[in-house]
Amino acid sequence: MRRRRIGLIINPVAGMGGRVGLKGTDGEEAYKQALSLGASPEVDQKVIRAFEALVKNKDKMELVICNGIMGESALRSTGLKPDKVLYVCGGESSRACNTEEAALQMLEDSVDLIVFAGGDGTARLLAENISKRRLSKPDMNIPCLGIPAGVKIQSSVFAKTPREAGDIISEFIEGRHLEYIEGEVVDLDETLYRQGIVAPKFHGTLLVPSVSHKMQSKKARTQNDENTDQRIIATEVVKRMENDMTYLIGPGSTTQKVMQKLGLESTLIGIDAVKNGQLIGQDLTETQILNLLDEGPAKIVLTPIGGQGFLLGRGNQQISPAVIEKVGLEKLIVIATSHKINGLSNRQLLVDTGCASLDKKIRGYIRVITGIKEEMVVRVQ
Amino acid sequence: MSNFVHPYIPNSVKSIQEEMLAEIGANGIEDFYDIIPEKLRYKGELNIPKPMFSEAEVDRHLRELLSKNVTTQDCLSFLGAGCSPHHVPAICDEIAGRSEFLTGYAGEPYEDYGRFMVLFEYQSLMAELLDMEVVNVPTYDGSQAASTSIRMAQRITKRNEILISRNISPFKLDIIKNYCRGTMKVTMVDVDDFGRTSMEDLKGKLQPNVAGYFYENPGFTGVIEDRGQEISDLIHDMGGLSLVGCDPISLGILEAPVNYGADIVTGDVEGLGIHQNYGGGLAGFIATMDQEKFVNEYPSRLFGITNTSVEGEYGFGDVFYDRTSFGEREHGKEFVATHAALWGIVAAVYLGSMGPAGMEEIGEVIVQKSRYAMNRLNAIEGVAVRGMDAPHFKEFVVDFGQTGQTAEQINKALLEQKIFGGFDLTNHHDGMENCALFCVTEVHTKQDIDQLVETVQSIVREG
Amino acid sequence: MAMNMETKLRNFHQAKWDEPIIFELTSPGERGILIPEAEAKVVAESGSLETLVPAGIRRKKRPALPEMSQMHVLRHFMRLSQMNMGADFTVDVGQGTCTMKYSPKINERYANHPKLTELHPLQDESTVQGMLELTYNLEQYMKELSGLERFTFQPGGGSQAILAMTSICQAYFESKGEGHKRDEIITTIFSHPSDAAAAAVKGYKIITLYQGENGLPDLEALKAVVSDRTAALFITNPEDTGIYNPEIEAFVQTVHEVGGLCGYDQANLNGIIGITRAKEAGFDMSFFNLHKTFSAPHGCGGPAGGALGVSEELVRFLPKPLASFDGEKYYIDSDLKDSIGKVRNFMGVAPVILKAYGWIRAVGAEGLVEAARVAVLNNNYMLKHIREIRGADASFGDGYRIEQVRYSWQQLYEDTGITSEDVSIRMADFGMHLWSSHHPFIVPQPFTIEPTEAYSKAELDEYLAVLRQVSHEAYTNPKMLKNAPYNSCCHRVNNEPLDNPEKWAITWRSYQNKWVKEECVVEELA
Repeated sequence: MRRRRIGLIINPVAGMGGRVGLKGTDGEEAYKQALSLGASPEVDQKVIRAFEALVKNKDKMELVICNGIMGESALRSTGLKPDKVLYVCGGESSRACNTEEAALQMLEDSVDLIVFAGGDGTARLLAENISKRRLSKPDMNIPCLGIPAGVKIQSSVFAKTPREAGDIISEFIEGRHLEYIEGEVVDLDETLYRQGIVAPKFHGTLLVPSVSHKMQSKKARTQNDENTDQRIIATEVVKRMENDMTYLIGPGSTTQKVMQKLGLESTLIGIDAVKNGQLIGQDLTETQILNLLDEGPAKIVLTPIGGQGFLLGRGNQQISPAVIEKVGLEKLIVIATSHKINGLSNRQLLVDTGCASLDKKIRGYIRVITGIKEEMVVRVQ
Repeated sequence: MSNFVHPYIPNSVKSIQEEMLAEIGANGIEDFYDIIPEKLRYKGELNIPKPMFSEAEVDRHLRELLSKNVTTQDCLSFLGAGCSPHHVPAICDEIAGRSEFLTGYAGEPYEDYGRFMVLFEYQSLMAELLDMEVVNVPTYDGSQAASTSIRMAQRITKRNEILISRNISPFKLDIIKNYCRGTMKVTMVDVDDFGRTSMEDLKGKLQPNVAGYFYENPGFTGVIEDRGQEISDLIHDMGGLSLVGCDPISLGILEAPVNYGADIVTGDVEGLGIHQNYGGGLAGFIATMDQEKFVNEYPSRLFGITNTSVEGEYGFGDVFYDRTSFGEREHGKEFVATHAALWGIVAAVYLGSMGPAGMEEIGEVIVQKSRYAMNRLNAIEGVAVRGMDAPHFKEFVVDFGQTGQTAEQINKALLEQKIFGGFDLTNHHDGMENCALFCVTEVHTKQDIDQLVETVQSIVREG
Repeated sequence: MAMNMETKLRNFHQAKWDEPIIFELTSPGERGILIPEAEAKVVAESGSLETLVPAGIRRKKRPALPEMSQMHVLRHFMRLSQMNMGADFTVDVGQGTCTMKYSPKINERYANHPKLTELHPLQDESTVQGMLELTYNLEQYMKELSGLERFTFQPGGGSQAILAMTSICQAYFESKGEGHKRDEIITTIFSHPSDAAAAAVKGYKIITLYQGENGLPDLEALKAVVSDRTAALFITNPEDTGIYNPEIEAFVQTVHEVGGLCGYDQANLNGIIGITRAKEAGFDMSFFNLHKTFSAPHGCGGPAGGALGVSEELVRFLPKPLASFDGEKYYIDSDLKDSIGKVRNFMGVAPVILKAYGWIRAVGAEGLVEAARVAVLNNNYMLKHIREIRGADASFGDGYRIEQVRYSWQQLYEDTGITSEDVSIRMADFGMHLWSSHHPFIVPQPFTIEPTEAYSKAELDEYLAVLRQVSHEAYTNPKMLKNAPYNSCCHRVNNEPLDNPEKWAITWRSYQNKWVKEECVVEELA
């Protein structure tokens, strides 16, 4: 088996803000603020923790890293030697560190897996760039795995802890069986965030390896992997679809499988509309949706996004309070795999439409379709 | 209560309890039950007998209780119908009593290496008998195995109707029907005078919605079916699966169902070194070939053999598989649970002892003795054996209709002579009024059979 | 040298035989047992095999079973038994939810007695009065412990009891004309997986209540989903977390208010026997596992017994037959007109029924309650100490538990990279079991311990000492741990092939095809 080529990108400023009470350190202002308050890069520690697990695999892998504080300095402490160093970092200052450039070069280098230490911002960069590349080379869906090292971790593209990240990468290198899930990349609107308002925006997906959860419970034979479960849910949703009913299909990888089941093209991060098995609207705006709703009854199919389980957030401008009121709350169809629900950090779904009275109506408990004739009752906050 | 100490409850000694409570920092055991609302605390007296503190009391009590039973050793028994009298080799009892197995459960393939290996051997030995590649860890009984095979067929073919031969145990049919109610349609297929599948009726009922046809060989009445390939071909032509229930003890002389086209083969290992146990010695098996489409559908555990970090060493574990290829499936794959593993272990010892020669010999003896019994009973005036001219294995139906007595009366009279007659089919099977199912195995000597025949003869004459 | 009484650690080594697979022991011509021949007259009158079995169905190829003489067969299986760790040998507190308590040997004496083993289930009632009396009396005790009206012992285990409960539910609503409408069964995430899976077999839609912060299902969540489509609530209480749901009565009421039934999965009965009952909480159905709380041994996975009890209204749906009493003698009642039929053949597993009966007679009413209390004491004792072990913690808060606890090694994992599975495997080097959890793995790196009342304080201390030792090893010598076990029946198992359709071998013949033949080919080419 040939050696696996692992790329590592470290965002040196990620994670600093948390210690000193800031929320994220993207942007120079924020970084200066953090440093002045005495923050020091935490990221390296997390990378070292993760890569400790790989020392035993060093002969089975090739490492491609970035220079300076974007990789070299952290790796030195692990005793691992890189096979290639990309020069994307100008010096000690984060201003000169170009995460985007790093991502582009990694992709050019044909690595098998990109490991990144950072937060949602870094995940977003990767997602957008990989997505661009796939326009010309659709088969190049390079898996990525995040080592959590940022305050803002809404995306479901991270391992739970650096230790777990290390174990997953180790399994990857050894050619062990892993599941690949389309993890959602979710970012928060910066300005709103600093005002204490959580408005997540869905930016697409990354292919993320995870330890197959069926592996954990050998004695229970009845577990599927994530993708199979998503397809099963999609089958159930399609089976229940009524004639002459408009279905607004929300963003997410689970909902995308509904479109796939119908054999229709879909917009991953946008809203599509389906009626009688046909595509009647793609990547719709709020206005377009409202017009559609005038034409007949509708239901909305949604899936919670990201690790926090955002169901409806201000980042989702198309499915606005007006749209929801017009469709009717009882016509919301929420779908997710049980694995997703079990992995929610707070065991609940989040809703923040911007309209307080609507939010109040939605909060409580909601049924989530998790399979054929299977539902879970989850709290909505 | 404060002086209550019992050998089964080491920490019932109060001083130890106090020590432990002190370490925990609790005032009393009641503290731990605080969470249970007062309203739900049972305050009444439990109308359950006081303890029998001395083991001698328990010993005597159980002995006296069981002494009220009259067993198949105290009388001559010809009862079968899903629980057969066979000789239990002493070494089977020896292994069944090994406390390592008896009190073992669900440890890892390290400290419970023995369990994994012995059940792997059970799977393998059954596979040789059945000439197939995959056999599961035993399930509750053969009827559960049959029910599961039917649901497996449903999942594999995505069809919701099952055809079942009328020559089936009424108990098995009840179990299957209950298991399928709510999700599948059960349609019965008629049988001919011998109790074999009516080809005409089968052809008529093999519709596009049929997942498969379940029948047994030998059938409930003991008749041997030799047109298995023809039946399988019919089913396969319609895209269904051939589901056959068989009797493992017949497989030394009867062809394995897979060799006449069966896709999923089920049955019960009762009688393979296991005592009758008042019907408690049952364990079902499900066998298929090693194709993903089948392996994917087993709800039970499948143990597999592998290697370890040391060369040449065998290791074991659960086989599990990737279901990515099956995006659509029937809702759920039944359940994994505690079934009947110990009986599988005992069956392994039995098959290991019997070897190919033993299985051949026992099959031959059974078929000869049951035929001898059939011939002699049929010769009694007024008594007729159903399907006399058809080949039978181990069991056959005796019709007392012409004797002027009911099967119940005959059996009562037999009982007075310390004989357990065949299972009375009167209220259990259509068209079998005053018939009884008799079972004859290698444990019945010629003398036993002659005694039965002579007793029946005298009962019939007197009646 | 004996066990170190100070540290409580043993220098244990399990039997390791490197025993070949039985097929490798074959010696053509050897016989393990001989069969009584048919008498000459019988053969003469019945005929030869050729006449008795049509050619088309006669076996053509001999089954390739091994040929071995008797002592060799015995020795082989005896060796395998030595490589198994039954509860009689180890302090078996590490198989949580299984209730691995003492199976009194006096009961074995009678379960193996010919007066039970040689009974046929279809014998005339008059000949099995002892068995029927035993069964009937056991039923009366079950009724006392639950408050319910009638019990069946037909289910072969807990999961089959759930199947029976579901079937009764189905029959009940069909009799009221609501069969089609009531298509949902509600359960919780920490109830036993079979509460969902067995119900799903009967075609119901399963609604699972997710747990709240405190590890308990939320009453508000239940209220949000009950409707006139609710057929039943199936719930385990205490759940596998060991936490009792104090709102259980409200849960039952909520479902009753919409006309649904409530089924109590009492697999976790051991800590509450005689202390709280199904009836007072309002349940319509409840089942007990005879091989758990009631001491029947587990047999490596059965045979077992599920005793299912129901309220008066549901008695008519019970599977048939039932062991009954008419005031003078015992009889077999098959006259249940609305019965669901059967879930298993005959009347249950007689040896298991006897063992449960024997245990109850030995400990008596007082002993049942004391067993529960001591089981709970033992559990909280271990809980206190395990919380102090580096890297371990109990899930869901600081309070006490009932009879078991779902713990987590997450901290240990984060600190050392050692997983729950690694710990379990190393425990084998000390002759101990440690089980993780049922699916789903909500508690990360889980392990579940249920002491029961059967082990002394000293033995509990011994188990704790081993846990501490393994934790210590994780922090000081994780590399050694990762390659355990060293004193067990084999070394680290390679699980990869078990997941690969091209390599998995469920039988010896598959192994020959996929592993051995391939190697031979490779050798030939080399």
